[in-house]
Amino acid sequence: MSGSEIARTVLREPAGIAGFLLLALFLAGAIFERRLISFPQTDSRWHDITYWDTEPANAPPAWTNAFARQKSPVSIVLRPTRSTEETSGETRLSTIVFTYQYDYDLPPRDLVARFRGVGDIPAALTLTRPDGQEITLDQEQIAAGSGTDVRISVDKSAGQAAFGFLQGVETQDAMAGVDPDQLRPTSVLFARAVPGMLAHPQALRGAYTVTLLAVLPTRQAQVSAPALLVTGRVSGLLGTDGSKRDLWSGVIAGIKWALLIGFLTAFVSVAIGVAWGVTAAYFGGALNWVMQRIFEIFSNQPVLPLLIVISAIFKPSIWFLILIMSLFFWTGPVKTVYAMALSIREETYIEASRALGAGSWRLIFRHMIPLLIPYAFASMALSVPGAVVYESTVSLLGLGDATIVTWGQILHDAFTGGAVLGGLWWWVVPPGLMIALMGMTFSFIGFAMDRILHPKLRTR
Amino acid sequence: MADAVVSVRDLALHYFTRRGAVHAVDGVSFELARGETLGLVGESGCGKTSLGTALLAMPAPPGRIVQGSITVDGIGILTMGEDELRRRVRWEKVSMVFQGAMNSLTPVLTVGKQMNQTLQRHRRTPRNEARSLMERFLGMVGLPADTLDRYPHELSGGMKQRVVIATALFLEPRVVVMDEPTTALDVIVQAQILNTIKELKKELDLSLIFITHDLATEAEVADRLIVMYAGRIVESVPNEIVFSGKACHPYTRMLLAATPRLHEKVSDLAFIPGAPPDLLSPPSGCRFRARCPVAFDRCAAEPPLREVAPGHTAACWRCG
Amino acid sequence: MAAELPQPLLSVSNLARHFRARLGGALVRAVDGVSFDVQRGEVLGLIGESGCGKTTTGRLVMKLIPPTAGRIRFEGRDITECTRSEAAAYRRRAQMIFQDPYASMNPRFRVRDVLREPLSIHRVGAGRKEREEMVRGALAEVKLLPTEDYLDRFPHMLSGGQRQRVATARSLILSPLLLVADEPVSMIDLSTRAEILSMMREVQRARGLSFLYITHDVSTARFFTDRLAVMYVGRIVEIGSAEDVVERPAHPYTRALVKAVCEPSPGGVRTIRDLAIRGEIPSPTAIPSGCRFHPRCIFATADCRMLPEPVLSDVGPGHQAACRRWKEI
Repeated sequence: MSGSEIARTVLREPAGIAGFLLLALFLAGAIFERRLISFPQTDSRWHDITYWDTEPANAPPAWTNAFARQKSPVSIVLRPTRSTEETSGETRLSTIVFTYQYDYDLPPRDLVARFRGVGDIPAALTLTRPDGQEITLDQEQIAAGSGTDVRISVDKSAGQAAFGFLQGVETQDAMAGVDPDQLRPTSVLFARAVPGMLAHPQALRGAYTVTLLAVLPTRQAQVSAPALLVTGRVSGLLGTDGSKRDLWSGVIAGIKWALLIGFLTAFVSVAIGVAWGVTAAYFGGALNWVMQRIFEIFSNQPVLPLLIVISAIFKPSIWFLILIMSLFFWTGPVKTVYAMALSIREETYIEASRALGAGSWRLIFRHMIPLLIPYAFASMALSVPGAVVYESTVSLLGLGDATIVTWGQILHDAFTGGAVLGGLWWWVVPPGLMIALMGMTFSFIGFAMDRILHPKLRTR
Repeated sequence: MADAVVSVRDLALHYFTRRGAVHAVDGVSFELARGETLGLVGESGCGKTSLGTALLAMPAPPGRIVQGSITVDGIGILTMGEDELRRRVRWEKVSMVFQGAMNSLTPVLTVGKQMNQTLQRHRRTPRNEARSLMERFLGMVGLPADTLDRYPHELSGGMKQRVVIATALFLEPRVVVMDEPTTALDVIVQAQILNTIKELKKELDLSLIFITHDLATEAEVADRLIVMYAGRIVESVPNEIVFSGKACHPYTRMLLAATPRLHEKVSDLAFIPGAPPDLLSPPSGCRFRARCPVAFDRCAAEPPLREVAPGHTAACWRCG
Repeated sequence: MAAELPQPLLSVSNLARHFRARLGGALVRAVDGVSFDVQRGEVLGLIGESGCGKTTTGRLVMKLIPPTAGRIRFEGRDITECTRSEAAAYRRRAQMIFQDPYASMNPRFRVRDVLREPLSIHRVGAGRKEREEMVRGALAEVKLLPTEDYLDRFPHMLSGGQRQRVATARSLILSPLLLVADEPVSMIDLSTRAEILSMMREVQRARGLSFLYITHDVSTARFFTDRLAVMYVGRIVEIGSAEDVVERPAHPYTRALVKAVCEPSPGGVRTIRDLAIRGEIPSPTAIPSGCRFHPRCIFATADCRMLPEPVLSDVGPGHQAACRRWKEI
């Protein structure tokens, strides 16, 4: 069976078509990864918290807004709408204005003013609300030295300001027991200024202006690349996890690893298995006996427990993991390959070739192996899900390769991050679904190859 | 014929494959007289095996009988339902020794159990009666009673074939169809089986249809020769006339010339060049035309099977 | 006095092949002391029924299986045990045609690949072009014309007769001296059989090939061979010219064999033939004592059972049989 014949066999079945479509989708996802995800360095910086600071933590996907009664704001990075500088002698006053259009029901988690600063800079951050109220969120002396990234978080710094604002509006009774340090500034700042706003806040929609005032006392002092990060409550296509990581990017990045693990393990293990079976069948005798015993030793091992133990001890990289899995998966195709090779060996055309003078290598490689290729492919297809699941299991237990993103890892973080108990379905379901889908893809393809997988040991 | 035990009229059997309908048997008529042995001869693919299966109303799928009638012992069998066929016709009136049957004995059951399976399927018989029946017929084919307790692998090729023949006979049918019963056997065993068949014919007053591709075997055991080609009968002639060299259809003559003779060292055996036509779309006119050495323009029209001498019919413009 | 025969191309003496089918099972004496010569350009037929060892003898001659005893001489040299390179050289000069025309070719190989295989095994032919030429030449020799039509076909696209032609072409392409043909036409239709045999005959004559023709069909053996050897349960019981063996069989087994061949005669349909033989072929694990044919022989006496096995002895010029009583019967 040539490649095109195999493809035709598979596509004859609905399962095969479905499998191929899914596989095409997965491959597209892996190939176009860069374009699909909004965080291009997901792979290498999954564990780098500085990369993941623009999004809220544990945020549901943005599209859930469509179903929610109360609309949550989406994270957004704002550039200044206006930026002016007044000079007064040596000192410059920089005024940077951001405009934020707020049309939601729930307040953003945070507002973060970000810039690169040089020197000692006194700075102030003010908020002008649509109802005209102006609140000074924060004033501080920023020591930027020779150049640092400065972040002013409203959530962290505007507690007192929010408290003060609240006091001006709420009744005495409502204010009783309110602790400024526990107060979430944004829930006050974005609510209508009416009594009862603490207990039942109503969103104040409209245009908000955030002004950053920075005094630059020396000529070296500088404020550059200013941006206002509005941290929403929902984020991205699949939400975020507890470390503010975009899960869509994580899941997509995981595709290539799953494919790699699956294919490589399948290929290596089936190659070994076929070689093993053919050699044992062809040469027979003592060699066969030895090979059978080795096979029995390997095939009787409990692979998953072994994998877990090895991973716990050696903390392997993904390549080592693939190697270990291949070291056990090869036993899968051996029995059938052995039986097939044995029956091929008895075929008259083998004897005829030997009568022509063919040696063992020619008989094995020119006659036997080509007849086994279809079975090898089918066997590979069915090995992939196993490899993917085993790796996911190992990662789930926290023993996987920590330098890469795999679905198993995401699941591990979900469990340790309390996603299940916290009802953070977007963290748990997508990676689990992907594992299942990948398994399905190759199972479908394998099912469609059933005729090849279960040869009636007829080699004609 | 008044005494015909089998009468076939215009029988057509087609195999409905994905590529189309293969006209395996395409308009065949003949009769088998009581006590007669018919030798049905032809190349592989000529339709003789299909014709054999049709006589039991058992065409192999995807085959179907599309036309014609078959009368066995006065009963038209093509209009009967499966159930009735199984009860009244198959094995009771007409039975078959299938090609390669001796090799399809299952290795995991004893001979007795297998024979009994066939027996019970056609006629419910209590166990001891069944046993004595089977023993009797094994004896008729020259096998000892203890064969019933043996497994097929313990028997030689000739013995297995005798078992199969006994199985075809034990309900004492009127007609037995034997499809290549001796082809896979050694020379001496073949001769022994043919002797046995001759004995059985006499003892049980059998009417036999003997299907083979080997003219020498056919002539040994049959009274009349029927030659099939591309789904049609091309000649029907008593063997006596064949011996005297008066077979007239070119195909028959070429087959005879291609059969090696033991006591003549023929320096060059005759052979028939070419191959039989594709039965998916049979050619027009005489189907043998392309390979016939004496074809002429009249052969563009299909010659009917007609009498060229008393008891001798042939489908050829050059005959009679 | 027969003229001094030239050295035979193939000379087999006391060849035997004994083995146990299972560990601890009975000893199967498939070939039990066989000797014969094949001259250059001669066709020797080996006939017998199932289990007589003729196929095994063919495989022994082709060195596909090792003999338990005996020697094989080819072109005067003893090749019974030889090095790999000697075996390879032998394979160029002795080739085989198998019984099942479909099974003897890898179904995934095209005709071109089938014919190229011997060339590439033995590194014959300077380059692709030359090999292609040789392949076409071989196809033409077996009359598969036009060759282009056949080169790209798979075996399942060929009829039985055509496949056997390809198999013959494959065996001829290295220009061997000896061809071992094991039942080459028994699985082919009767009408094509004659065609294939005629083709082989022509090739044999044109090239002066020696043939070892193995078959159970006495009639085609008569047609095809110069000399005939009759085998029974591992031994040759009669050997001579084809005419002598068939017309004047000396050994009782040969007589029975010849009698059993269907030679239709008027009235034969009603006659139970006298087959001049009893019983069944014994198993090669339980060969009768004395003359191995004695349990089935209608002429056997107590001597036939008790005296040692008779050897091939002259019963006529160039004609030998292994029976002590041949003159009396």
